Amino acid sequence: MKKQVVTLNINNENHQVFINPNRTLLHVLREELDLTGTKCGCGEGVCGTCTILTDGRPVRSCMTLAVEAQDKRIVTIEGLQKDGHLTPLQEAFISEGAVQCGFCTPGMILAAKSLLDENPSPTEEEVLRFLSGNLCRCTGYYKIKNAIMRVIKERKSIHGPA
Amino acid sequence: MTLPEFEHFEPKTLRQACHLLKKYGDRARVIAGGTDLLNLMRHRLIEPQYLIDLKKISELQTLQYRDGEGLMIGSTVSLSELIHSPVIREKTPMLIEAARAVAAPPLQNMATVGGNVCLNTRCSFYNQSAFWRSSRPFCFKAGGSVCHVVKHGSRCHAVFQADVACALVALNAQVKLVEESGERTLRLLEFYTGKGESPNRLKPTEILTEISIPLAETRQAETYEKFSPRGALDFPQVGVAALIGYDPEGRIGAANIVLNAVSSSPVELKSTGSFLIGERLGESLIERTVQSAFEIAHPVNNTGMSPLYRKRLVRILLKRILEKFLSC
Amino acid sequence: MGQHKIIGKPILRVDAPLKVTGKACYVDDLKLPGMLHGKVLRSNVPHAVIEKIDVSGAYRIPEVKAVVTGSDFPYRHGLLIRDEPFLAQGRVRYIGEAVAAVAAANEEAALKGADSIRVTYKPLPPVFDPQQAIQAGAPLIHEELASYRRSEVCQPIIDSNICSHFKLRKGDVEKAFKEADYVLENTYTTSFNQHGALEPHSAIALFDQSGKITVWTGNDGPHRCLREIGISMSIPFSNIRIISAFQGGGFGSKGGLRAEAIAVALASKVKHRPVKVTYTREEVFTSTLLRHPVSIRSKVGVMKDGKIIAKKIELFWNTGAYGEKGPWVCRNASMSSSGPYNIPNVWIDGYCIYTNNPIAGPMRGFGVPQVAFAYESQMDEIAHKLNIDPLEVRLKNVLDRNDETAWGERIISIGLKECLRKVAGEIRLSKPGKDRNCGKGIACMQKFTTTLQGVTSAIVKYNHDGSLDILTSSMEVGQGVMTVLSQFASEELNIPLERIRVSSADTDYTPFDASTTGSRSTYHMGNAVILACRDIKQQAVSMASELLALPKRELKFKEGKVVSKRGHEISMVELINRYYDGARGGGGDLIGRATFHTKSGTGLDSETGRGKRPAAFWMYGAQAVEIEVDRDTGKVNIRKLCTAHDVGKVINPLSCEQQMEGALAMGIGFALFEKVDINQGQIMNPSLASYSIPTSCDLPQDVNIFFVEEPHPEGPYGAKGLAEPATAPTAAAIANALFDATGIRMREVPLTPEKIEAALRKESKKEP
Repeated sequence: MKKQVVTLNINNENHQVFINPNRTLLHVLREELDLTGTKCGCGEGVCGTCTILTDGRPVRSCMTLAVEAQDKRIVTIEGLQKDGHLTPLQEAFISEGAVQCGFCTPGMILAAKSLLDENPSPTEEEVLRFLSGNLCRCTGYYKIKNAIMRVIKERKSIHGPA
Repeated sequence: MTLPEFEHFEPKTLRQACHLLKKYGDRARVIAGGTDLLNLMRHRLIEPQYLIDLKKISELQTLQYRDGEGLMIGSTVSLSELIHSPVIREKTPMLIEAARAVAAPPLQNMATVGGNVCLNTRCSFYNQSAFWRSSRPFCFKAGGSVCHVVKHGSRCHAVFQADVACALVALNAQVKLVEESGERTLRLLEFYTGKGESPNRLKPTEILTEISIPLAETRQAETYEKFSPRGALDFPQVGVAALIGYDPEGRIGAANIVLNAVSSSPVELKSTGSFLIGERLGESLIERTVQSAFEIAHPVNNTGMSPLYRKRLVRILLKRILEKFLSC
Repeated sequence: MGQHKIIGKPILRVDAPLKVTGKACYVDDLKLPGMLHGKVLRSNVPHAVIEKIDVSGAYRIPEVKAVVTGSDFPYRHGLLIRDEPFLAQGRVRYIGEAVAAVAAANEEAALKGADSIRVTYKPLPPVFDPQQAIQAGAPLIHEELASYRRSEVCQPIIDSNICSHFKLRKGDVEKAFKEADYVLENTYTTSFNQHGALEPHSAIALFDQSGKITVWTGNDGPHRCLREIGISMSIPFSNIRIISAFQGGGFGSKGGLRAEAIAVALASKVKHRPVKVTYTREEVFTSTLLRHPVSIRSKVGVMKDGKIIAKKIELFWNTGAYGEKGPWVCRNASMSSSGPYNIPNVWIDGYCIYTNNPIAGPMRGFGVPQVAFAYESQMDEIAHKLNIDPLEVRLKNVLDRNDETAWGERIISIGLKECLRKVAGEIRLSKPGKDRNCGKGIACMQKFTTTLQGVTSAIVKYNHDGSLDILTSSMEVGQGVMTVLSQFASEELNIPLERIRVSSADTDYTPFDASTTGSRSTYHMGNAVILACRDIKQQAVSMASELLALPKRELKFKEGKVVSKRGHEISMVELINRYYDGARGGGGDLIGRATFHTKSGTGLDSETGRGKRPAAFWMYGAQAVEIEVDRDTGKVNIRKLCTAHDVGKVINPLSCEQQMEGALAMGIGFALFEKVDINQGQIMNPSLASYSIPTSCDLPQDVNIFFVEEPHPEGPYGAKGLAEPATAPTAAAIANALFDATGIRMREVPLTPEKIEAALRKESKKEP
């Protein structure tokens, strides 16, 4: 198996890594690039703690080969803040108490971000349906849902109803 | 969990991909979403030396409806695209129900229609790590000579559990298989072998490029229902795709009922074709239909829930579907 | 008591900003210089003698640095019974037991190394069922049971597979049964569950040049972990250091020595290089801990007015291949298995039984979800038999303050009646459900936090810049302990929260704490922190007395300053800086310290199971549910859930809600979804794909949470604990609601659709 140079655009920065093709994107993020905010909870695409955004869509980085992720715009949890300011979703997760052990939190926030970027005002049921791909063992998902609904409500009050 | 070693290719055209497959044969596998393949590789159930990535091939990504022909879905169209496609919503809403039933939205982004059609059959004794499987002799599907589910069985009973594929069978879908030396088209149901260890007829040198769904001429009712322990993430314990086409007088002109997760391939209710056609949907016809479905479902104990319970679920799901059709 | 400034307020979690930005560090995020990776070769047979281990294949891989087996590292560990080897010694007792481990420069090489080791086993007859394991002639899983060092909690029956036998004897049950108007006898069973914490177990160990062992871990008891390593390896505690990271959930699975055992064994061989061992999800299932399944046979004697006069209970706990905390779970849960009821005659036998299954250990509730399922299901069976309302029969029997419990403790503080009435009212228990498919049910629970091993210390450091450091060994496992401790300190010393830092645990610097388990930290560490703050206040008064040349009796600490009756006042920053003026502005601090434990704590008599104060405090709660049953498929949908818990004092309502919501979600998992399916000692579903942890689509949305505040006289501001209780009553509440809807009594959890459908079908066949 031959190593190859792989160029990845992560959080608006280009990174070059020299890796074997069987490396997952998750491995490269955590081990090569020290972006440890993305987690490995199961290694088989079920739990969602490895969720990152690829061209705005949530994907399992443990099920994505690094070589496949070239030419994509990748966003990890580390890339959400702008100039040290938390995004409304991050603020809402804090203020609504949606964070307990925190292990599911990065994946959960990114999944929620992708939902709201695509659909600015989903119903509660749509939110719960969308979150079903991210497991949480601490919260029962209640305050996670509340955090997302709060962002939706705040957006509506700023921008008016959709 | 680490992956075995392999070389990775990203052909830009179908021709290039076919050529690579021809060159490497059964040492190669195609990869699209990877949600099935990568786990099989992690468990060392499949260890291709070459992966041919199909995602850069634009010919495989189209989704269109052609008047007079029907729907053409490229094999690497993701399940998410299917779900959000206005033309699918208009023409075959059952496909959206089936796609939404798969796993969960983030996985629907990655999984492809072709991948679901080619989903490997599953078994609670097969889909396990190499360490887990080292406790017992290899089963038929893993290259051994026993079945751990059916004692003294002579064949593999790994179960077919692909939701979208089941709905496609009910829609009379066809698949186009392309290799370097030519192509062929098969009815989707014929694409499946009924054999647990090798569930479909895809040759090592072939790529499934397109799934086509013929037009519906008559008004129809269609739906896909799935039963699983949780509301997301789970493979079906049982699934039912049902499509009833009505003639202008409201009599049944076409009836496609396909069962999922009760065998090593989707199971079509052929016999209903005869006793349903020309009839009006009603209580006694429904009862006769669900009884037929019950009788042809032969699940085995390899999904976590008991076979008899799953048989009964077939009856319940189909009955509810047909009663819903009746009330519309 | 005046209005508190910060106690009782919904303060936001102080650890949340780190977690929402991905900056919170968990063990697997750590990279240390020269670090190696460890992988484990595990037994794929349930019971066997190890005849030979050939490690030569591993050493042929160039990146492999060390291989270790049980003969290289012949130590055993175990808090209550020292029966578990770090790596198998001579014999394996469950599928998944560690037999050898390999440390290599990278993960792939370590895996290849582990794969290359060849083990020859001679199979021994296994036993999987606890009832069979205690029969005469059953294969003995621990032949050397008599020789194991153990604590008083563990009472084995030698030459058997009974790791521990707990007995409780109160009154005369046989006489009472004769006097009872009705006697019911039922058996209830539960299944193996897994904690499902999203962070897999991970530990890094290093033996450095000075001979010190350092372990980086998310273990829920850093000092306990240190002691277990020291005791098992016979090395001084001062040679061991545990450094904690955030824990990504544990729920009881991250106590004892799990990944730590492998990391330490490998590090001892490698010497001077850290070794990281991170488990796969499959290993988390097979080789960490599971919740004990238990079979509970309960015989109850009742008078026709609903008063319970006798209970005789036998509990058979399947503890798997090694004891771990099984004897403790068996003791604590069996002891409370007659329920929060005033029963004059009680006879309990709890058996903690070895089998060739994966190891069972504590899981949120410590055995109480299991026993509550039994006693609360039986309460409704009594109600039905006597034709008495389920709420009424409970209120008739429930314990009150000053009542004596089955084990001889007088109740100090109990708000259970309020909890029951609250949830019954909210769910309108006496009104029928929406339609014939709906039913309502109620259940309650009791759980204690033990005084045994309940020592807790805190250091609080008031810095010369006015900031505060809280140094404790409490683990932030997701429960919000950092926030709650900050609140206590802020209230005591009037320091704003943003100026307070809470340390992570580091046993070299943070003082002893028994563990972060059993819902104990708010109470124990809260008290320790408060006392340490009061120590600071006393010192401040002494210092101010010197500085201001005023007698101490004229001074007091008020609103963050020291003030005198005559109107002098001096801020803490000024006090510290002026007091140390000899150092000419070079800084200084005030260090407060305290150790808290329940001085009147007792154990339990080994023959009668009785003791005056085995509990630091008790927690009580009740839940009521309305469910809808799909009579065809057997699927249960929870339409509404109400839960009320006596927490003593709500220190932080946001954190309290967080705990309740998470606990009831796990209670629903226990009740309806979760079962680790074990076939001949092998887990059939060792994956989050096939083990049904509820997703966001599986939990009810109409959830109503209530708190009852019945203060505990020794709790911080009256607080008790909260983390576990809401997980316990759910199963029985659902089973009772199911009975209400269908007339079917289910006595086995999880209440899967398949089981319910089968029971409904069987019942309908009886109908004409």
